[in-house]
Amino acid sequence: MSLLEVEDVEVRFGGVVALANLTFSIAAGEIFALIGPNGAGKTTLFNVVSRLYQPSQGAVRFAGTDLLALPAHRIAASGIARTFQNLALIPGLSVLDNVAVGAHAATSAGFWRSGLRLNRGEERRVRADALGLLDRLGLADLAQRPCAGLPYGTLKRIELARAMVARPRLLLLDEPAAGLTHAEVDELGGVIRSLRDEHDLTVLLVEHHMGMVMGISDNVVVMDLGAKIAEGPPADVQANPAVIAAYLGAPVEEV
Amino acid sequence: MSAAGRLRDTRSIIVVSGVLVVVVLALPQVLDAFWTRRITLWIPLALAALGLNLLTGYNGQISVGHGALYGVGAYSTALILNEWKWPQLAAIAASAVICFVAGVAVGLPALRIKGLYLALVTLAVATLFPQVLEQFSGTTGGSAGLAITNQEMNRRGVLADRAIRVEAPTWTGLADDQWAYYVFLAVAALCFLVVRNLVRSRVGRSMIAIRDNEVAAEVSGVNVAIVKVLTFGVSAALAGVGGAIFAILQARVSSGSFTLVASLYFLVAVVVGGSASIAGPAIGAVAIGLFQDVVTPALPESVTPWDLNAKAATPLILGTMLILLMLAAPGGIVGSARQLRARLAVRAQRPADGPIPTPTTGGTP
Amino acid sequence: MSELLQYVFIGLGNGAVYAMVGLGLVVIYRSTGLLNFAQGELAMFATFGVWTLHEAGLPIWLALLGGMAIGFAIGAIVHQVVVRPVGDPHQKPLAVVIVTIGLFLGFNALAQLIWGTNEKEFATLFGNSEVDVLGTLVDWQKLGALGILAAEALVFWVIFQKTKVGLGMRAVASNPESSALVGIPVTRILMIGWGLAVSVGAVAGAVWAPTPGLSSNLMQLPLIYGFAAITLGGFDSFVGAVVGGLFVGVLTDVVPRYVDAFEKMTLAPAFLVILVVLLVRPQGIFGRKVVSRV
Repeated sequence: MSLLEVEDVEVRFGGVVALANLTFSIAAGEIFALIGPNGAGKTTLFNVVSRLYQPSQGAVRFAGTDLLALPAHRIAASGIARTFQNLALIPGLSVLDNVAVGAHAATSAGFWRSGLRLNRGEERRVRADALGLLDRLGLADLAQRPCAGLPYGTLKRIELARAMVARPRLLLLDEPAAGLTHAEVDELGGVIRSLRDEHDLTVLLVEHHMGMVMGISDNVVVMDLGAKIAEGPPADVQANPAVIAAYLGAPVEEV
Repeated sequence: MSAAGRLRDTRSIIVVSGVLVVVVLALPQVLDAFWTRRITLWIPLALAALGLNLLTGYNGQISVGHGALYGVGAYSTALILNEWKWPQLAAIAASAVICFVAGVAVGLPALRIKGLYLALVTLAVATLFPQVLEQFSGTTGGSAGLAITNQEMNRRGVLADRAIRVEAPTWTGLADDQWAYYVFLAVAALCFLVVRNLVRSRVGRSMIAIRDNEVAAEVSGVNVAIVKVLTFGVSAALAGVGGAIFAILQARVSSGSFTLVASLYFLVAVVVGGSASIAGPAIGAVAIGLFQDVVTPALPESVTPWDLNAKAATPLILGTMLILLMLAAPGGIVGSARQLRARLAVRAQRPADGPIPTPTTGGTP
Repeated sequence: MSELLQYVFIGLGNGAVYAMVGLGLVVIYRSTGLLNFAQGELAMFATFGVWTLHEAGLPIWLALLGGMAIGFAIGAIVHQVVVRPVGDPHQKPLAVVIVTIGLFLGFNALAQLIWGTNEKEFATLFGNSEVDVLGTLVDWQKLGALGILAAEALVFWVIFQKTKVGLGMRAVASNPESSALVGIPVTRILMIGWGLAVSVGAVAGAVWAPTPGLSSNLMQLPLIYGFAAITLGGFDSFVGAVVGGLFVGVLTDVVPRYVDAFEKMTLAPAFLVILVVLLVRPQGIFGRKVVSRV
């Protein structure tokens, strides 16, 4: 069963075509990777799925429903969560509160209830959930610290915790391995796989780290200049000549 | 921090808070009526700063026009008390509602106008406000203003207009000015408590998330537009409560009290006290109050050979303070206190020879 | 009809002052990327400098030049000491607002402390007579304001298009880091920009002051009119400041006289201009549209 269907999506910025006729689908439970050289349109596609961009044509369906009909703030409630290439944490909040923000869609206390402190039960539950996730990722003792000044790898895990606290069905990871050491990348691959197994999760990741992509993905789509140039299991894609040309250039003609 | 350290920390906070509460409650007993009335006037300023801080400090929407919302609160109260003769607290509540609506009305276009441009628009609103009062001087009394009065029997047995005042019930044994201080202090304490609850909740997290990274907030499920507009409304309501109390204390409203300078002073209070903190607006209001009522009048009448206008000293000092704060201590008094505490905590934690842990600063309010 | 024409001319003359304020705001916006809420008060302070020099015996035009020099110095120092340490306005808009508000309060109060609160008479640059234009009597001061605006616009054009300093300013406005890397003295350029802005402000103040008289609240309304001018014209456009200023001037002088609801709210048309432009077309008429990447 396809959890996410991207059909013929086109995105234009003025005269520039960022995505052209992009079509692929992701089955539930898959770890799906989107790879390609810089400027290929991978983050643009992410922004379409997280509803920050509106495509000029095409359709995107999530669990059968029209995703493009939703505004950005409704995707969390639908079961989609994402991390960002350049980290989008909230420096003014503690680590725990950053993760708790991820639970916003799963909770409901508004101005009235919060102002009059009628939200105590919900608050307790949210904090416990957030702390549980931090613990799962080995960050529990940082809970009360502000985010500022923490190491990059730690910040990435906090963002992952925030994305997971909403119990998403589809997790979008934008370059999760960027800036991590070899050891951290291996660990991350393991974490993604176990999260997928534990939580009945589907993962779409954009990544440049080929080792991780080939190691954990079930399927890969290769993009270049806004279009799909290959699709399939990692081994097939690796051998595809069009993919090799996109990354390394075509062999020079012998004179 | 060690368990003993944390206990020491909590105990010291309780002690300091306790002392402060005692001092605050004792003031009207110790000061004369003139001074009690002066410090009671600091309460509306603290409320306006509280409202502004919620909007600008916690939610990142810059308003240089809260004086106008304060004015809406004041004039609403004046008109309600004069025309409908409601009880004072009811008039204050009604003014809060009116200002909430006004805040939402400003908050809607503010969705599309951000940062410096929002500051510009609100600056223009603040400058325009006295002119609006002039234009509708039939209702507002223009620059002469409105006296807020009650019809009462005077000594000659004739019904005459008398300036409204807060009257202490006889069972309390308090003077009118003392009663007014306690009542309005209670109102303010309630408002501060509500804001504190808001800020430490899901709503508060969403406000701060919007301030620091709107996209991250959105993608986490925050309906950014609704939160921003409602925050504007609540912020305006708080300023309105301040304006309402101000009107009652002065027993009059006139356009001269609601010029651009009022808006600027609210911003000064927020910055000096420490933005994005609960105590900050109160501390800032006290700081401004002290300058205006204690420091400036104590300055010498003429230091220079030409015409020294001591009244101008307060804005000069405050303006200079704003600049110095932004350059040296952007966290204001509360921010600097937090940094100091953090640095002391780090020093206490430092092992004999080993890495120095990174100091923690700021954090959730 | 000739009454309307008279108001139009008055509006144009006043609009010229708003445009001058706007030019100063545009210089600062283009070079340091911020809206200088203290522009009016800095200009007012420099205008008091002009007055003081004139009172000391200098003829008004020389006093104006002296005031412009004073304004230049003030602008440069303010940038160095106060503005530069604050950092990028786009990252920390609140810090910029607070600092410019601090300058606003400070210079306003300083002017009151030094010169008191009584209104001072300010000598006109163009005398007090009127001349017949297209059948209406127009004050020389209004025509003179337009003349000065034209001269300023020309000077700005020459500076920015034809001089090394101007080229430097355009480079810094476009990309400060690259400019520094190619050897442009960024700090000096920015100081010159701010100096120029306050200088122009002194001229605006001197042209404006004769009518209301000189006091510390001289430029409080013209500041908003100046902002309306550049909002309409485009925050980074000199042409926009001129066109916007003249338009806002005419609008402000004509509307309150013919629309009763606006009689006492002279700022209202300008306010509506600011609001509507920011909602509908934030880059104004001549400004450049900025698209940001998520």
